[in-house]
Amino acid sequence: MNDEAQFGRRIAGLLSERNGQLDPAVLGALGAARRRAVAASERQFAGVRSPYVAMAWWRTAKPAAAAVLLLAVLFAGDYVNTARTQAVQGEVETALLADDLPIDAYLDQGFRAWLQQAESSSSRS
Amino acid sequence: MAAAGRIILLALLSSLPALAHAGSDWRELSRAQQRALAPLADDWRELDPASRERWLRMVERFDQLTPEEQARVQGRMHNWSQLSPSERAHAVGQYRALRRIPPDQREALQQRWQEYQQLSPEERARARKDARKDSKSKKNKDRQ
Repeated sequence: MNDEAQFGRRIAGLLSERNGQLDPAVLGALGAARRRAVAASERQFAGVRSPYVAMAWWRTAKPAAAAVLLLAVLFAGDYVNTARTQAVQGEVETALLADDLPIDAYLDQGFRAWLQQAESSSSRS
Repeated sequence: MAAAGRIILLALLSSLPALAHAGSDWRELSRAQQRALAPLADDWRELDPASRERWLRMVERFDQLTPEEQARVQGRMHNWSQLSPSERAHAVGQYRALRRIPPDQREALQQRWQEYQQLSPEERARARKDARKDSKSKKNKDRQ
Protein backbone atom coordinates (compact mmCIF):
# COMPACT_ATOMS: atom_id res chain seq x y z
CA MET A 1 0.00 0.00 0.00
CA ASN A 2 1.50 3.42 -0.88
CA ASP A 3 1.73 6.50 1.34
CA GLU A 4 -1.19 8.30 -0.27
CA ALA A 5 -3.53 5.44 0.35
CA GLN A 6 -2.36 5.11 3.94
CA PHE A 7 -2.89 8.85 4.51
CA GLY A 8 -6.39 8.61 3.04
CA ARG A 9 -7.33 5.68 5.27
CA ARG A 10 -6.10 7.58 8.35
CA ILE A 11 -8.22 10.63 7.50
CA ALA A 12 -11.27 8.44 6.85
CA GLY A 13 -10.70 6.74 10.22
CA LEU A 14 -10.43 10.05 12.06
CA LEU A 15 -13.54 11.41 10.33
CA SER A 16 -15.52 8.29 11.23
CA GLU A 17 -14.38 8.58 14.87
CA ARG A 18 -15.41 12.24 15.02
CA ASN A 19 -18.69 11.55 13.27
CA GLY A 20 -20.40 10.46 16.46
CA GLN A 21 -19.25 13.54 18.31
CA LEU A 22 -20.74 16.03 15.83
CA ASP A 23 -23.72 18.21 16.58
CA PRO A 24 -26.96 16.80 15.01
CA ALA A 25 -27.50 20.14 13.19
CA VAL A 26 -24.03 19.85 11.61
CA LEU A 27 -24.70 16.20 10.70
CA GLY A 28 -28.00 17.24 9.08
CA ALA A 29 -26.29 20.02 7.10
CA LEU A 30 -23.58 17.61 5.95
CA GLY A 31 -26.19 15.02 4.93
CA ALA A 32 -28.17 17.65 2.99
CA ALA A 33 -24.99 18.86 1.24
CA ARG A 34 -24.14 15.26 0.26
CA ARG A 35 -27.59 14.67 -1.17
CA ARG A 36 -27.39 17.93 -3.17
CA ALA A 37 -23.98 16.95 -4.54
CA VAL A 38 -25.23 13.48 -5.58
CA ALA A 39 -28.33 14.99 -7.23
CA ALA A 40 -26.21 17.53 -9.13
CA SER A 41 -23.88 14.75 -10.30
CA GLU A 42 -26.85 12.67 -11.52
CA ARG A 43 -28.22 15.65 -13.47
CA GLN A 44 -24.84 16.29 -15.05
CA PHE A 45 -24.48 12.69 -16.36
CA ALA A 46 -28.15 12.06 -17.11
CA GLY A 47 -27.78 12.58 -20.88
CA VAL A 48 -24.53 10.70 -21.23
CA ARG A 49 -24.93 7.13 -22.60
CA SER A 50 -22.11 4.81 -21.94
CA PRO A 51 -20.98 2.83 -25.01
CA TYR A 52 -21.20 -0.27 -22.81
CA VAL A 53 -24.90 0.40 -22.21
CA ALA A 54 -25.52 0.79 -25.98
CA MET A 55 -23.63 -2.41 -26.69
CA ALA A 56 -25.60 -4.28 -24.04
CA TRP A 57 -28.83 -3.00 -25.58
CA TRP A 58 -27.71 -4.12 -29.05
CA ARG A 59 -26.76 -7.57 -27.74
CA THR A 60 -30.30 -7.97 -26.38
CA ALA A 61 -32.02 -6.58 -29.44
CA LYS A 62 -29.86 -8.37 -32.04
CA PRO A 63 -31.85 -11.64 -32.25
CA ALA A 64 -35.13 -9.72 -32.46
CA ALA A 65 -33.72 -7.44 -35.19
CA ALA A 66 -32.47 -10.48 -37.11
CA ALA A 67 -35.90 -12.12 -36.81
CA VAL A 68 -37.63 -8.95 -38.05
CA LEU A 69 -35.22 -8.69 -40.97
CA LEU A 70 -35.70 -12.36 -41.87
CA LEU A 71 -39.48 -11.95 -41.75
CA ALA A 72 -39.25 -8.83 -43.92
CA VAL A 73 -37.11 -10.66 -46.49
CA LEU A 74 -39.48 -13.66 -46.53
CA PHE A 75 -42.48 -11.38 -46.79
CA ALA A 76 -40.89 -9.37 -49.60
CA GLY A 77 -39.89 -12.56 -51.45
CA ASP A 78 -43.39 -13.98 -51.18
CA TYR A 79 -44.90 -10.67 -52.25
CA VAL A 80 -42.65 -10.41 -55.33
CA ASN A 81 -43.31 -14.05 -56.23
CA THR A 82 -47.07 -13.66 -55.93
CA ALA A 83 -47.01 -10.43 -57.92
CA ARG A 84 -45.01 -12.13 -60.70
CA THR A 85 -47.38 -15.13 -60.82
CA GLN A 86 -50.40 -12.84 -60.90
CA ALA A 87 -48.86 -10.73 -63.67
CA VAL A 88 -48.24 -13.85 -65.80
CA GLN A 89 -51.77 -15.10 -65.05
CA GLY A 90 -53.17 -11.70 -66.11
CA GLU A 91 -51.23 -11.81 -69.37
CA VAL A 92 -52.49 -15.33 -70.15
CA GLU A 93 -56.09 -14.34 -69.44
CA THR A 94 -55.79 -11.29 -71.71
CA ALA A 95 -54.25 -13.43 -74.44
CA LEU A 96 -57.12 -15.90 -74.08
CA LEU A 97 -59.70 -13.13 -74.42
CA ALA A 98 -57.86 -11.71 -77.44
CA ASP A 99 -57.59 -15.11 -79.10
CA ASP A 100 -59.23 -16.13 -82.39
CA LEU A 101 -61.12 -18.88 -80.64
CA PRO A 102 -64.11 -17.89 -78.51
CA ILE A 103 -64.11 -18.46 -74.75
CA ASP A 104 -66.58 -21.34 -75.20
CA ALA A 105 -63.93 -23.35 -77.04
CA TYR A 106 -61.76 -23.25 -73.92
CA LEU A 107 -64.65 -23.82 -71.56
CA ASP A 108 -65.94 -26.86 -73.44
CA GLN A 109 -64.88 -30.03 -71.68
CA GLY A 110 -64.80 -32.12 -74.85
CA PHE A 111 -63.22 -29.94 -77.55
CA ARG A 112 -59.62 -30.72 -76.71
CA ALA A 113 -60.30 -34.44 -76.28
CA TRP A 114 -62.10 -34.49 -79.63
CA LEU A 115 -59.19 -32.64 -81.26
CA GLN A 116 -56.66 -35.11 -79.87
CA GLN A 117 -58.82 -38.03 -80.96
CA ALA A 118 -59.22 -36.54 -84.44
CA GLU A 119 -55.45 -35.93 -84.67
CA SER A 120 -54.54 -39.45 -83.57
CA SER A 121 -57.05 -41.07 -85.95
CA SER A 122 -55.82 -38.93 -88.88
CA SER A 123 -52.17 -39.79 -88.12
CA ARG A 124 -53.04 -43.51 -88.01
CA SER A 125 -54.82 -43.47 -91.41
CA MET B 1 -28.91 -3.76 -41.46
CA ALA B 2 -31.78 -3.72 -38.98
CA ALA B 3 -32.74 -0.24 -40.10
CA ALA B 4 -32.91 -1.43 -43.71
CA GLY B 5 -35.12 -4.35 -42.64
CA ARG B 6 -37.38 -1.99 -40.74
CA ILE B 7 -37.69 0.28 -43.79
CA ILE B 8 -38.57 -2.67 -46.08
CA LEU B 9 -41.17 -3.95 -43.63
CA LEU B 10 -42.70 -0.50 -43.19
CA ALA B 11 -42.83 0.04 -46.95
CA LEU B 12 -44.53 -3.33 -47.47
CA LEU B 13 -46.99 -2.81 -44.66
CA SER B 14 -47.86 0.67 -45.84
CA SER B 15 -48.53 -0.65 -49.36
CA LEU B 16 -51.05 -3.25 -48.15
CA PRO B 17 -54.06 -0.96 -47.66
CA ALA B 18 -53.40 0.63 -51.04
CA LEU B 19 -53.45 -2.80 -52.70
CA ALA B 20 -56.60 -3.86 -50.87
CA HIS B 21 -58.51 -0.86 -52.18
CA ALA B 22 -56.84 -0.67 -55.58
CA GLY B 23 -59.18 1.10 -57.96
CA SER B 24 -62.36 0.52 -55.96
CA ASP B 25 -63.84 3.69 -57.42
CA TRP B 26 -64.15 3.88 -61.21
CA ARG B 27 -63.12 7.55 -61.10
CA GLU B 28 -59.81 6.59 -59.48
CA LEU B 29 -58.76 4.68 -62.61
CA SER B 30 -56.52 6.28 -65.19
CA ARG B 31 -58.00 7.27 -68.56
CA ALA B 32 -56.24 4.35 -70.23
CA GLN B 33 -57.67 1.91 -67.68
CA GLN B 34 -61.15 3.38 -68.05
CA ARG B 35 -60.93 3.09 -71.83
CA ALA B 36 -59.76 -0.52 -71.67
CA LEU B 37 -62.27 -1.57 -69.03
CA ALA B 38 -65.19 0.43 -70.43
CA PRO B 39 -67.47 -2.66 -70.79
CA LEU B 40 -67.19 -3.22 -67.03
CA ALA B 41 -67.82 0.40 -66.00
CA ASP B 42 -71.36 -0.25 -64.72
CA ASP B 43 -70.36 -3.37 -62.77
CA TRP B 44 -67.02 -2.04 -61.45
CA ARG B 45 -68.27 -1.19 -57.96
CA GLU B 46 -69.92 -4.59 -57.56
CA LEU B 47 -66.75 -6.50 -58.39
CA ASP B 48 -64.81 -7.81 -55.42
CA PRO B 49 -61.37 -6.25 -54.78
CA ALA B 50 -59.53 -9.35 -56.05
CA SER B 51 -61.46 -9.25 -59.35
CA ARG B 52 -60.82 -5.53 -59.76
CA GLU B 53 -57.12 -6.10 -59.20
CA ARG B 54 -57.16 -8.98 -61.70
CA TRP B 55 -58.81 -6.81 -64.34
CA LEU B 56 -56.35 -3.98 -63.75
CA ARG B 57 -53.49 -6.42 -64.25
CA MET B 58 -55.16 -7.84 -67.35
CA VAL B 59 -55.36 -4.48 -69.10
CA GLU B 60 -51.82 -3.39 -68.23
CA ARG B 61 -50.72 -4.13 -71.80
CA PHE B 62 -54.03 -3.44 -73.47
CA ASP B 63 -52.48 -0.70 -75.63
CA GLN B 64 -50.04 -3.21 -77.09
CA LEU B 65 -52.87 -5.29 -78.59
CA THR B 66 -54.06 -4.73 -82.15
CA PRO B 67 -57.40 -2.88 -82.49
CA GLU B 68 -58.98 -6.19 -83.52
CA GLU B 69 -57.66 -7.93 -80.40
CA GLN B 70 -58.72 -5.02 -78.21
CA ALA B 71 -62.26 -5.29 -79.59
CA ARG B 72 -62.26 -9.04 -78.92
CA VAL B 73 -61.04 -8.58 -75.35
CA GLN B 74 -63.63 -5.93 -74.63
CA GLY B 75 -66.39 -7.95 -76.27
CA ARG B 76 -65.62 -10.90 -74.00
CA MET B 77 -65.00 -9.04 -70.75
CA HIS B 78 -68.52 -9.27 -69.47
CA ASN B 79 -68.80 -13.04 -70.05
CA TRP B 80 -65.38 -13.64 -68.54
CA SER B 81 -66.27 -11.70 -65.38
CA GLN B 82 -69.40 -13.85 -64.96
CA LEU B 83 -67.42 -17.11 -64.84
CA SER B 84 -66.55 -18.84 -61.59
CA PRO B 85 -62.86 -19.09 -60.60
CA SER B 86 -62.87 -22.82 -61.40
CA GLU B 87 -64.34 -22.19 -64.88
CA ARG B 88 -61.71 -19.55 -65.54
CA ALA B 89 -58.97 -21.86 -64.30
CA HIS B 90 -60.26 -24.63 -66.59
CA ALA B 91 -60.37 -22.28 -69.59
CA VAL B 92 -56.83 -21.03 -68.86
CA GLY B 93 -55.61 -24.63 -68.56
CA GLN B 94 -57.20 -25.53 -71.91
CA TYR B 95 -55.76 -22.39 -73.50
CA ARG B 96 -52.26 -23.21 -72.25
CA ALA B 97 -52.59 -26.80 -73.50
CA LEU B 98 -53.82 -25.70 -76.93
CA ARG B 99 -51.00 -23.15 -77.19
CA ARG B 100 -48.57 -26.05 -77.12
CA ILE B 101 -49.83 -27.62 -80.35
CA PRO B 102 -47.76 -26.95 -83.50
CA PRO B 103 -48.40 -23.54 -85.16
CA ASP B 104 -49.63 -25.09 -88.43
CA GLN B 105 -52.31 -27.00 -86.53
CA ARG B 106 -53.07 -24.00 -84.39
CA GLU B 107 -54.05 -21.98 -87.44
CA ALA B 108 -56.68 -24.58 -88.22
CA LEU B 109 -58.16 -24.45 -84.72
CA GLN B 110 -60.85 -21.98 -85.70
CA GLN B 111 -62.04 -24.32 -88.42
CA ARG B 112 -61.81 -27.33 -86.08
CA TRP B 113 -63.98 -25.48 -83.56
CA GLN B 114 -66.59 -24.89 -86.28
CA GLU B 115 -66.48 -28.59 -87.12
CA TYR B 116 -66.81 -29.53 -83.47
CA GLN B 117 -69.85 -27.31 -83.09
CA GLN B 118 -71.48 -29.04 -86.03
CA LEU B 119 -71.24 -32.40 -84.30
CA SER B 120 -74.45 -33.89 -82.95
CA PRO B 121 -75.13 -33.35 -79.22
CA GLU B 122 -74.48 -37.08 -78.69
CA GLU B 123 -71.07 -36.90 -80.32
CA ARG B 124 -70.09 -33.89 -78.25
CA ALA B 125 -71.35 -35.61 -75.11
CA ARG B 126 -69.16 -38.59 -76.02
CA ALA B 127 -66.16 -36.29 -76.45
CA ARG B 128 -66.81 -34.77 -73.00
CA LYS B 129 -67.10 -38.25 -71.51
CA ASP B 130 -63.79 -39.22 -73.12
CA ALA B 131 -62.20 -36.05 -71.73
CA ARG B 132 -63.40 -36.90 -68.24
CA LYS B 133 -62.09 -40.46 -68.63
CA ASP B 134 -58.72 -39.13 -69.85
CA SER B 135 -58.41 -36.72 -66.96
CA LYS B 136 -59.30 -39.49 -64.46
CA SER B 137 -56.70 -41.87 -65.88
CA LYS B 138 -54.14 -39.03 -65.92
CA LYS B 139 -54.85 -38.30 -62.26
CA ASN B 140 -54.47 -42.00 -61.41
CA LYS B 141 -51.15 -42.13 -63.28
CA ASP B 142 -49.94 -39.04 -61.42
CA ARG B 143 -50.82 -40.64 -58.08
CA GLN B 144 -48.87 -43.85 -58.86
